[in-house]
Amino acid sequence: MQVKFVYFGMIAEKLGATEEILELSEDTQNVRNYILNKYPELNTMSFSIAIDQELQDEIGEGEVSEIALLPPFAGG
Amino acid sequence: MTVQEEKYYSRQILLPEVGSKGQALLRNARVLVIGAGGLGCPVLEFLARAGVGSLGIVDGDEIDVSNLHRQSLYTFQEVGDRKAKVAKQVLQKINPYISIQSYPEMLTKNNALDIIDAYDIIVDATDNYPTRYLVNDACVILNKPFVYGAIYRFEGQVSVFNYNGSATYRCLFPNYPEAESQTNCATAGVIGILPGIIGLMQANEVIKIILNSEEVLSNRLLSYNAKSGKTSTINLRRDDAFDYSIVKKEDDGLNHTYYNQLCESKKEIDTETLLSMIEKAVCLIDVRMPDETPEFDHSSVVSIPLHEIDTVQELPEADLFVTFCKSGIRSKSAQAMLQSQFPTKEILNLKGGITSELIELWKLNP
Repeated sequence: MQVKFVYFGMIAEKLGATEEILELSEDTQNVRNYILNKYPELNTMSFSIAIDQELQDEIGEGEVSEIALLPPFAGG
Repeated sequence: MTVQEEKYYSRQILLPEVGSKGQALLRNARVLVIGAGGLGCPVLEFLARAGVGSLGIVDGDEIDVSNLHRQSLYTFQEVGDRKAKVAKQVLQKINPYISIQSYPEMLTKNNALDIIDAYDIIVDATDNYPTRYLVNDACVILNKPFVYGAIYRFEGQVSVFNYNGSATYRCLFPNYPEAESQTNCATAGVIGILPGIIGLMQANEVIKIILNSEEVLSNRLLSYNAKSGKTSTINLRRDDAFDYSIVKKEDDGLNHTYYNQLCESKKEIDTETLLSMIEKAVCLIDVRMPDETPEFDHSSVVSIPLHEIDTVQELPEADLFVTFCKSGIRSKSAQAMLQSQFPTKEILNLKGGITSELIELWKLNP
């Protein structure tokens, strides 16, 4: 299944893109494991994951269209 | 309300969503803004102009020239002055009808609950993670809603946390960030307009809470990118997995270790202030190596080289402890370490290290 990944803040800088389309295999369940496996350089960074705008790491039933990786921002 | 005061607010009273009733709600509202920097300045300015009757400002920092490109309440004239004090003066001129309380101190686990308790709505306009978790935890414990805003370079995040049982900061970011994620405006850089935009979004949410809007930005995180002009929203849920009782000590204080990492390590004192306080029982802690010069052979000075700081079991009797080294850098680390080892002691770092005035003083008092 083709899914749009959206990256914010330092994640986008580290990956050099604010979004990209990735092919997720049917048996992918945990997005965090998937993305850390694909991009080990994210291992040292903190981020939360939203699957179709809902905050969660695990893919449930049905199609997924967008996954966002949101790092915390400190600045103010 | 006097005729003049009514005229001041007349344009917003015209809005059906505000009206005289809404203006009275604003006048009775008590809002605390934590951090009077890039986010805090616009939040404060527009809440003052809107007529929020009681505003509190918490900030222990002084105005630096590098703040002026974004911190809109300050000018060159006030460089070196306390932000909380200057902000209060400026805002009181902008709106003389409201009451403003300034707290020119850092929010710490020791003062957080007392300060926050006196307000209805809290604004997190801080610039570091320890204080953000501290604000979150104190607000959850005291059951206060808080309006979160945070920025990184060209991007910002806004949400309303802990509002009528909504999601909190810990529901979004349960774990304290990894070291690599710990940058702020001073280290990452920031475009001055961005905190202006995000700060005004926060001020807008505060007004919505006060006016009982049905569309408060709770259980949602809004992200804004100033480069692309894109906004996006994700949904959040209250997750009560985090046990807040572990951050709360029995004596009603907060006792979570990582608040110390930044909130209290900023504590510094300059030579002039130190010399004016010397009658107090001050204990100076020399963290240089024993062979470094000049030597300070005085009853007020104890020598604890930096690498031995973490083994210190107890400190001598004193009202105030001041760490120092040649330039003030090593002693800054020593201050932070000692403060976390001895959270109840007042420990400051001597800014700039050993100066000629200090050498002179110890010659006079051998």
